[in-house]
Amino acid sequence: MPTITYKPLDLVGVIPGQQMSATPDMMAVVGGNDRWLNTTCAPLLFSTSLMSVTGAATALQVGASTNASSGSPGELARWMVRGNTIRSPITVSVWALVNNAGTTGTLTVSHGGATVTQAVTATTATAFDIAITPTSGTAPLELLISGHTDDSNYVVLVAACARYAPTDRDDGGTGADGYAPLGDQFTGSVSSMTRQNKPVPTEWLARGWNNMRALARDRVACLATLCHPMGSATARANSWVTISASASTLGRLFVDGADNLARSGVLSVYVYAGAGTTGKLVVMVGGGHQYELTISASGWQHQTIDLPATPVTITMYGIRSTGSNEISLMTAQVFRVVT
Amino acid sequence: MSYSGTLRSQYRQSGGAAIDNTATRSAFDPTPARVVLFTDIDRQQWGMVTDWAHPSHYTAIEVGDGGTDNSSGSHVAVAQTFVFNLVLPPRVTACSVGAVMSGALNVKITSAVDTVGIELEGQFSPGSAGHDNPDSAGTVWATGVSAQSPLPLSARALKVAATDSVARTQIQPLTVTVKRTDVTATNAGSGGVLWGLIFRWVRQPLNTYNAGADTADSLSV
Repeated sequence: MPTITYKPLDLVGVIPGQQMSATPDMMAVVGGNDRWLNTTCAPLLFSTSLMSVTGAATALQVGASTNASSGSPGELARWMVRGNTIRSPITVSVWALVNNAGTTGTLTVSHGGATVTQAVTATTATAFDIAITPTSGTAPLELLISGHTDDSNYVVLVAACARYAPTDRDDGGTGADGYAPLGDQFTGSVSSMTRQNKPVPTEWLARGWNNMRALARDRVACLATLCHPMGSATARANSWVTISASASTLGRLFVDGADNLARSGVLSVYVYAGAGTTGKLVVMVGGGHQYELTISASGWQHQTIDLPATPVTITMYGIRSTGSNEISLMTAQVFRVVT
Repeated sequence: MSYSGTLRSQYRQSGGAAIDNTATRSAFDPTPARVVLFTDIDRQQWGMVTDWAHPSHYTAIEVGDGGTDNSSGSHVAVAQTFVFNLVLPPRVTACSVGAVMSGALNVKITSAVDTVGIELEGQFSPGSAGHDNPDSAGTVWATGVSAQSPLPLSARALKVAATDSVARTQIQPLTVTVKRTDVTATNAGSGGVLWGLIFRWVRQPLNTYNAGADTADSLSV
C-alpha cells in the first residue's frame, strides 16, 4: 500500500511568468497534494446531538429512541447529503446505547440504496463508526438511521455526524465528479507524468485547476444542522411542533459567512404533517429574504436561498393551515449550492 | 509530524473566491506552461485544505440543564453532561464557540487537549415564563486566541487539536456540561435551554512545508 503525503509548499520567490520546462520537484509535490485532497477532503456532511432533555434525564429522553421490532424498525433520525456523484463511502460516527442490560439494539443506516447495521449492547453512550457506500440514486440523497431491539427495551441514538471516508484513486480518467488523477507520485512508477524531468503538458495544469473545482462542487459541506428525533414529531409543543394557525417558531439555524461574497445556498428541510393536516413553513434569512414552503405531506423540501457573506440567522416558522394534527420541523440543513 | 516553513494566510483570509463557482480551464496549444498556472492550482489546493472547504458549522441541540438537587434550603444546581462529536477540519487547532441559549445557563466545554475548557454564561428571559422559549434565546461567545491561561475561561477559544499539521478531517469528542445559574439556596430557579452551538474555526496563518526539515502528514492508502 503506498503512502501518500501532504506537503504545502512555500511559493514565495516563484516567478509567475517563468515558463516551466522539465518537471521540477514542486510540480511533483503539487501533484501529490492533488491526490491527497482527492483522498482525504472530507467536509462535514451533518452533525447532530439528538438530546431533547429539558428536565431530569431519563434513558428515553437522551436521544432518539425506539423499541420497534426487526420487522418494522423505527425511524430515529434523517439527514440530507448533497453531491457525492462519485459515490464515495461515508463514515457515520454515532453515539448510542440501550436502556437495559441484556438487550441488543440494532441501528440501521440507509443511504443511496445501501444499508448497514450496527449492534448496540452498552447501557452508556458508546461511539461507533459505521461505513456506508451509496450504490444508487441521484444527489441529494437521504441518510436515515432507524433502529430496533430484540425485546421491549429501547435502543437510543444520542448523537451522529458524518464525513467522507478516505478513498484513493491515482489512475483512470475523469470520474463522475469531474476529478481526473494527475498521476502517481508515491510508488516510484517511471511512467507517471509527474515524475522528475518529464515534459510538462499544459493539459496537466488545466486539469489540476479543474480538479479542485470538481472536488469543491461535489464534496458539499453542511453549514448548519438541526435534527430532531423522528419519534418526537408530535412532542415538544412550542418548540419544533405547532398546531397554530399563527406563525410559530419551529427552529433556528445560524450560518457563519461561508464565502467572501454573498452567494446562493440551499435549505433542505424534512417536515412532518399529521394525518389530514397541511401547513406552511415560512423561512426568514436574517431580516430580509423570506421564503414560503407549502406543506401538504411529510417529506423533504429544498429551497434555494440567498446567503450573505456575513453571519446570518435563519428562522423557520410553522403555520397549520388545515386539519387537526401537527406540523413539525424534523430536520433542517443549510448547504452551499453551485451555480 | 510538523511544518516549519513560511507562514501563509488561509485562503478566504487572503480574499479567495468561491472555488466551486470558478470557471473551468482549458489549455489549448500553444499555451506556455508558465508557473502562474501552476501557482493558481496551488492556491486552490490551499483553499481546499484550509478554510474554504471546511466552513464553520452550527449544530442545533436543545438540551436543558440538570435541575437542582431539590434540597429545600440548600439548592445546588445539577450539571447535565453529554458528549458531542466535533468534526474537526484539517489544520485546525482551536475554535471559537457560541452558545445559543435561553433562560439562565452556564455551559462548559472541554476537549481531550483542553481539559481546562471554556465557559459560557448568559441570561436571556430567565424565569419560568421565558427560560424554555427559543424566541427569547440569545448567543454568548467565548472567543480569543487559542492559548490557555491566564485568559479567563469565557474569553478564549477552545483548543481542539494539539498540532495544526494534521491535514485530514478528524473527530474530536467534546464534553458539554450545562447547569442553571438562577439557583439560590432557597430558590431552585428555572434554568434554561441550550438551543445550539456554533463552532467558528480559528483561522490563523499556517506554516508551509520546509523540504528537508519537516515531516509531512501521511496516510497509507
